Amino acid sequence: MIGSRGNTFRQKRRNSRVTFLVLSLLALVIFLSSRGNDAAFDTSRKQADGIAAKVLTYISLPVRGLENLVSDVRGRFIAHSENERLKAEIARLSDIEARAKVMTIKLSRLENILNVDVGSGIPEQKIAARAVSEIDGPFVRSALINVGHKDGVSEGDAVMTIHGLYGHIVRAGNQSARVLKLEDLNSRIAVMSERTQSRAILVGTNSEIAELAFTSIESDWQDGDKIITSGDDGTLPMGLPVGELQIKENGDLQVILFVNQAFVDWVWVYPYEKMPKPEVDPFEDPEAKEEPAANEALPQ
Amino acid sequence: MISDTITASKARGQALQACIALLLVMMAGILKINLFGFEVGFLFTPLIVIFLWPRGADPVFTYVILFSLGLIYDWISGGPSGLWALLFLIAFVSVQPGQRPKEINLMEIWINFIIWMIVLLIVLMALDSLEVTQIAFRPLAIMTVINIMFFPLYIFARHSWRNILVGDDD
Repeated sequence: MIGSRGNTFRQKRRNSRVTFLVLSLLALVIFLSSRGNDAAFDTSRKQADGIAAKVLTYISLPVRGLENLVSDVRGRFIAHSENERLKAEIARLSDIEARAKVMTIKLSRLENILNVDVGSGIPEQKIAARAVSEIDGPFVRSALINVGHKDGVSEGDAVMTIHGLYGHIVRAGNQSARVLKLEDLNSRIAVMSERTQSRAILVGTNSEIAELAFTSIESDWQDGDKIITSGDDGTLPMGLPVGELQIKENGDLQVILFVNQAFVDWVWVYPYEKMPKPEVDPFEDPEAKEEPAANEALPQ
Repeated sequence: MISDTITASKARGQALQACIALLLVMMAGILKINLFGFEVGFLFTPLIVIFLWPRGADPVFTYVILFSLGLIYDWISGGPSGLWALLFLIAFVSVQPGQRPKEINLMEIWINFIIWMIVLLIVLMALDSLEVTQIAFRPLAIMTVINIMFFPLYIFARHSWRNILVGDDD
């Protein structure tokens, strides 16, 4: 009896060890293979995002409520100074608005003369969404929003807050979408200085501060320069506010992101018609593919 | 024979209870709260559930649960697939809940947890230095501190639930 119990115990222990080894190996294989391309689990990820978005919409309500309450209390303490600042801002913006109107008229006349449409590039349509979950973890910085394909959201669309660019859509399910935030280590955005139009790539560092890379020696950068999207990547529209430049003592260029000025609740997705990828063979004759030769055997 | 069947059923039941707790904590884990300009993230809180996994839970069943939920946690937290699944499994094996004494005071178990979290941090740092994955250490450190602070709260919640549902049996 004791011997049989001992055997069962040993067998159980062996089973558990084998299970651990097999599953750990499987997890490691999945992890290593998903680092470059996670397409294998794309459908599962979209479904998990969809379910999580629905659940988190309700779970996050008290959290957002508490954040809003704290924000309101803070707002009341600084109401007077904020009022003074806003009055000064309105006075400054009135002058800018008047100049902008004149410039719009001038630009419209020039467009008519030259028969071109330069436009602002920033889409007029916005899709409002709620950031139901924000992950600012050690491995990834992303957010889950409660709009998806059925609302007109697609991969690559820019996501904005009232302060500035938040990130872009990396995975869009039917009712939810995953946003890769600007701070994420894998985030790369084509940007430029608003003052000099010097180009660079904004690289996320998993912190509140991003860095500028791939800048040319001739480019002109100054502390406090406003950084906006350049649109050079063909995925994001030009002119979306990103942050303010800060030059470190060693000459490294850092960007203080506008989006980190406040907690994020509501966001706007900007659907944008991306630049199409170039064809493999742009000179290929399309008719040759459509109508196979009469004597060519068709596949059964 | 009957008693073996009852024990097996009880072991699976305990694993299932822990699975439900882990699922709930995972959902709370992907929330973030911003108060007075300071952001608090709970991404590491599922590690508390793994640390306090029931002593008598069926190990095979537990591994399958940890692998599956780890994969789901990877997906809902937006990270690379397999990372949390692997971390959950390694965390469980390193804890050895079956070896945990039944009677243990809060301070003792809390200190054990702190030591365990520090060891996990070192493992993650090693993974980063081997360039297996890129890790940001500031949020990692903050989340570790938050986890350590939340540990007694989870113990209290666990004890309360256990008293309500199944009495004082572990």
